[in-house]
Amino acid sequence: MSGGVYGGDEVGAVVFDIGSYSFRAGFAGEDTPKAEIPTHVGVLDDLEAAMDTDGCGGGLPDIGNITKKRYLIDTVYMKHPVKDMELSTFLKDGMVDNWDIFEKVMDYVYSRSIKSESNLHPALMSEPAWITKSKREQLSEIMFEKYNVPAFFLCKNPVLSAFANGRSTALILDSGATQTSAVPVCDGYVISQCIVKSPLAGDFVAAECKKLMEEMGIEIVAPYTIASKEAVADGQPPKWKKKENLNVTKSFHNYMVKDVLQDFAASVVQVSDTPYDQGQTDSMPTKLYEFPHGYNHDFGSERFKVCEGLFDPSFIKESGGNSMLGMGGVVASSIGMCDIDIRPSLYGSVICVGGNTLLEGFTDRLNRDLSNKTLPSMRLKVIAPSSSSERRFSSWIGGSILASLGAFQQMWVSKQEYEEGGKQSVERKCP
Amino acid sequence: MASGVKVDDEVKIVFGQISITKSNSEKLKFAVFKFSDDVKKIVIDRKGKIGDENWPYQDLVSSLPPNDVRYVAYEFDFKQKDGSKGSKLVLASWCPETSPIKKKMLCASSFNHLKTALGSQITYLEGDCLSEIDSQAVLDKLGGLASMNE
Repeated sequence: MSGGVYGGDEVGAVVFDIGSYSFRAGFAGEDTPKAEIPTHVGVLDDLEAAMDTDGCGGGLPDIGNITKKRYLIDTVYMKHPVKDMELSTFLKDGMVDNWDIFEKVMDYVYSRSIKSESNLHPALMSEPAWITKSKREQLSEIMFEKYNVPAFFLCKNPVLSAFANGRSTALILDSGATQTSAVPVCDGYVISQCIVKSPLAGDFVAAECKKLMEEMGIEIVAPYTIASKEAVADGQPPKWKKKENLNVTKSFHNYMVKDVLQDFAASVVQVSDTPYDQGQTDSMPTKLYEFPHGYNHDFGSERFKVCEGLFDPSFIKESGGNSMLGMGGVVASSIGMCDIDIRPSLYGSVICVGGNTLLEGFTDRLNRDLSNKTLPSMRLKVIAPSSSSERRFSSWIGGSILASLGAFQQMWVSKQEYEEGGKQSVERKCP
Repeated sequence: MASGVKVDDEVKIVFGQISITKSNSEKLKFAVFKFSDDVKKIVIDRKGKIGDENWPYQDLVSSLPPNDVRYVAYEFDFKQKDGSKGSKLVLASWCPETSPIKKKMLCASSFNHLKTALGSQITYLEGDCLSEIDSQAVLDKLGGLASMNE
């Protein structure tokens, strides 16, 4: 990256950003992360099965472990059908839960993506706003003691996103894969009492798409099961052959099916500008989508219907839908909990980040829903970075810039400080 | 959370000349701050008195660069709801949407430090387009009726 304007010290810091869907890693000062790898990893119990896949050479064999677990990391190895491979994630509620897998992934990232020794680069890591103290301490312990990083810094996701959009006070609506959160940031600090979360996010849209397919009688076939296929005309039954003897686990199959649904959601689904109305959306242009097994279909009003629940939870058929908060509701209730003096500034900068906000029409609808909830005198502004990479990686990019600033170098928690002050030094220096 | 960027002493002195100084010869009406070339500190871009070029608030904020970030300190006179004259210090952060993401990051992450360094009773504004920091926006924030800076 050019970066010459600021002439920040070249420290070669590494920036990590962990999301519920993917893990982003790369060097500070660059525009986009060097690697984006899925947060899910394939776990194999059986040694023999591990031998079979040696040809791929992807995972890192763990010899010390008695159960002979083998981890298959990164898209290429993980999305490849392997007998009895279970997919699991090391995250729970956005925080690292399974430290074993986490360390395996970090080993992989350092050796394959960063391609350098961890003790040469300061590391900046993003964390969710609701992180607990014990998780932070454990993470800093691993980074300093296992990876020997010379310096470390933890920074909250929403703060980085706010800064990357030029605001020190803002409300960050982060709609990712597993959950949507609204986090108020004031003067660069998270107001942690006012965080509101909702399970309506990317995975919910994928699940709704799945339901739609079942209703329409379309079978979702993951690409890995397809041996061959032929092109067919619009709406004609697909002609394809299935691969035999795959013996994959359920978790793998579900993940791959979700992959297809996510692609469907990204290319076809659109958020309706106004509350969903069958008659109105019928007149909207249709979109053609070709499924991996060759079947293709023009989607009309369905493509608006599947994501309506995001904004209007009462639209969800199952009971319990009403108790959840839609996008506008999450924002409004989070701001409503904040001090009355800062509410106008928060409504004045509602920042949308996360992959799910890339759904077509998402920000327009949010704007509309919020203006219905606020007084007309309130200056409402919904900010969304225009490029998709800025929105998906906003906290990574924020961290990348922060870590490359010359002036920031005094902010790091150095290894020496950690050794002298212990785990608390991280808590003290990284608010 | 902060970027670690320092506030130059000169900035504090100039800010004092706006907020505290009363004598007419040294009294300043506004100042514009920017980042030094090595981005280690916040320095003075320009300063001025009533009658200097661009001194009315609206003209001043309109003259800010479209692709770079600035902070504006201004002693804002306005007509209060009861008709009397009010005066308030305004500190606006100018972070245009069209500026590079690097500058936005820098501007936002240093704003809090600048606020604490300048202290005192100030009204803060953050804007990425003119309508968010113009006279009308300041009036809305202060609850005033009309600007008296012309």
